[in-house]
Amino acid sequence: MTDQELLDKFANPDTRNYAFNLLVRKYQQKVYSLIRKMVIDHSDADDLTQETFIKVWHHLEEFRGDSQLFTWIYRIASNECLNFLNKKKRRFFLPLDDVDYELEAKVDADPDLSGDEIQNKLQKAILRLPEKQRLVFHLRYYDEMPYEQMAEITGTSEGALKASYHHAVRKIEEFLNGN
Amino acid sequence: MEKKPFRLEDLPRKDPFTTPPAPYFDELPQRIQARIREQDKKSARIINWSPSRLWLATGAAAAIAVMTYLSWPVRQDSIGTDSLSLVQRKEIISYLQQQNVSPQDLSEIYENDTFLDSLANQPLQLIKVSKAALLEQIPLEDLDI
Repeated sequence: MTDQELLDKFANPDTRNYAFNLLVRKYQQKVYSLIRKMVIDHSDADDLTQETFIKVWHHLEEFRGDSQLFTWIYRIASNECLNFLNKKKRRFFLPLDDVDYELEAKVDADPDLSGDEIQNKLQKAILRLPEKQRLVFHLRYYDEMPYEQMAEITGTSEGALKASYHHAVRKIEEFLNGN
Repeated sequence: MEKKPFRLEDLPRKDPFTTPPAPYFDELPQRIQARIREQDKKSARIINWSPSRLWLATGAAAAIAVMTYLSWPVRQDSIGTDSLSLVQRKEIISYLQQQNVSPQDLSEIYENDTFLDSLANQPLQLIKVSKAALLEQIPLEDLDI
């Protein structure tokens, strides 16, 4: 079913639940995957994924169609991740380094990680990036998203995103070569 | 031989996390909808304000304010001298006698007040007190002679 068909069915109160069900099934894996890479922990990712789609439910009628539906959903998911990480930092009065240290520990402990040593090192290197740069890196490196689409999600210019991504790559390579 | 520096593009690009086991994604849509219903139930319990409810609340608050004002205990102001002058002399004397205040006590009080008032109005140096009288009041040990 196309996005427009989903939106039309959602607009009809009789078919709203059905349309929403289909929408979730269509995008849940990608949304979960992005969130999981950002927050590492499965239960946090589960909670944030649900919150993302709950926001989609409440605001889908306001969606104007000036971007792709997926871009709009991804934007909500990205904001949920960034707000979660910032809230975590504020709640426990942790400086950014301590939050990253905690996430690195989760990388070591997580049974769902592939177990490949170099991949684990890569994840730890990514965790050393500032949150927004980390998001940019995930969108470009793992999702191979065009910069134009990334600009819609992050609200940042394409030029800034390109610069941010290249700096992120350099930092990661320096970290991996240093180790 | 120098070790070749690592480059990110040399690394196979794969999702670092394995997919959560079934039936996670099968059940996720129902879990989300259950959570939405739960949140909707909670928000329905909150009282929604409407214009009629607002007027009702304002009226109730005004009524409470009026009742509070009317039932507030009246403060008794102090009796002024005009009020006191309406009281007959014999009643005042009777009252003072009940309080064990004799006329002599009253006259002494009056004299003392008059004397103290005069002191307040008179510069100290005009008070006629002899040196001998003053010296009698000062202990000798306090004098630096």
